[in-house]
Amino acid sequence: MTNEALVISISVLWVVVLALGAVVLALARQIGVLHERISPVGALLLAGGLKAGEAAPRLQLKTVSGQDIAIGGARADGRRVLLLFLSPTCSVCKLLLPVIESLRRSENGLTIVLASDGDLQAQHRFIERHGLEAFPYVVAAELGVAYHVGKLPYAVLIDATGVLRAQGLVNTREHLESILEAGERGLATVQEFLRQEQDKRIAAREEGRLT
Amino acid sequence: MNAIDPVISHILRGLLALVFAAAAYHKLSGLRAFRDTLANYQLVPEILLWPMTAAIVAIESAVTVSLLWPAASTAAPTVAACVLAIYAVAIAINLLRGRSSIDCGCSGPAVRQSLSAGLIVRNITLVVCCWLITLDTVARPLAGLDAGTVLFGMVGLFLIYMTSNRLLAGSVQLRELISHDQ
Repeated sequence: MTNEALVISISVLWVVVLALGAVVLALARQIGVLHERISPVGALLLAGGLKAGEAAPRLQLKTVSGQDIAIGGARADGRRVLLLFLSPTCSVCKLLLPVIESLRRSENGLTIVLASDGDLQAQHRFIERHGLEAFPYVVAAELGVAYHVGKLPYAVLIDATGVLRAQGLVNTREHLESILEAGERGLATVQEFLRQEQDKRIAAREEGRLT
Repeated sequence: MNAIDPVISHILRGLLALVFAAAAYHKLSGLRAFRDTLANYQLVPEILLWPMTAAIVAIESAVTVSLLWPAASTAAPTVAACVLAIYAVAIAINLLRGRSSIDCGCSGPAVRQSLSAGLIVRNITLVVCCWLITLDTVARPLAGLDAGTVLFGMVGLFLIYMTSNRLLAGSVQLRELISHDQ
């Protein structure tokens, strides 16, 4: 009799433990999805480095095809420059390549410059494999150092007068678009936009309390 | 003389088989992505990336099958322990290089999981499981209830394994989020 009760008790325990395990796993997955959604909002700006509104560092460099290219400083043609830092070994960067190709085709006064560093041969293979010949492609470590690039892919938007308008880590098409959007609105990052909105809300609430 | 209960041994054996089956399945479902992940570890020369990818998937599949095969009762856990130890060393090297932001390739391309010390602890725990199943088992007759214990025990532990993997990935993301807010 007791033996039978024990068998039943243990069987019930098994089922309950498995069900609990499944529930906890589902919860952990939901937390993971939430993390994906909230981090980062728009292009993530890493702490330190250059500030939007400052003059972009000026560098005189050569592209891989041997042409001279000036980064930073006022541009005679009035075009904005989007500097995109990437590397042949970064898989997130590869996902962005179709996006920047469509950006290049749509024109709108934007010159896209790709920047990388490291083994030159690997860079040439990368350019060939992904058909990046139409872009000015710079291989220079000093460029990444000058712009304080820590993580890839990293985008920097410089306006025609040579002022840095927006910058950040760009993991998706939305992040890249947020850089261009932030540049147009005169905000450094989407984070700054969100902070401003929040400040406005707080100010409105304070005002309501005072009157 | 070390000897453990056969039920414990079977549960751990089943757990390791499930862990390796899941690992091989994730890699097979995104071979290209796994090749890129492997490249990011920067330990394998580019020319060997594809052969290495194929070898890893083949070894993981072979370990899964042979763990359940009684004839390979010590060989399979030994190979499994070596594989886990090599992964732990690869993760440790990249952590020391400061390349913690690369994807670990643990749960397939769908779940991004950065490297962390927690992964090394996870692998050491699994290596200990490998060692436990190489031990001799106590000879005792197995009842029907034992079959249930083995089945539910290994599935339950596997759920816990997957949950801890998710939580490890989440804790890294949470840290990034907090440091970004400050």
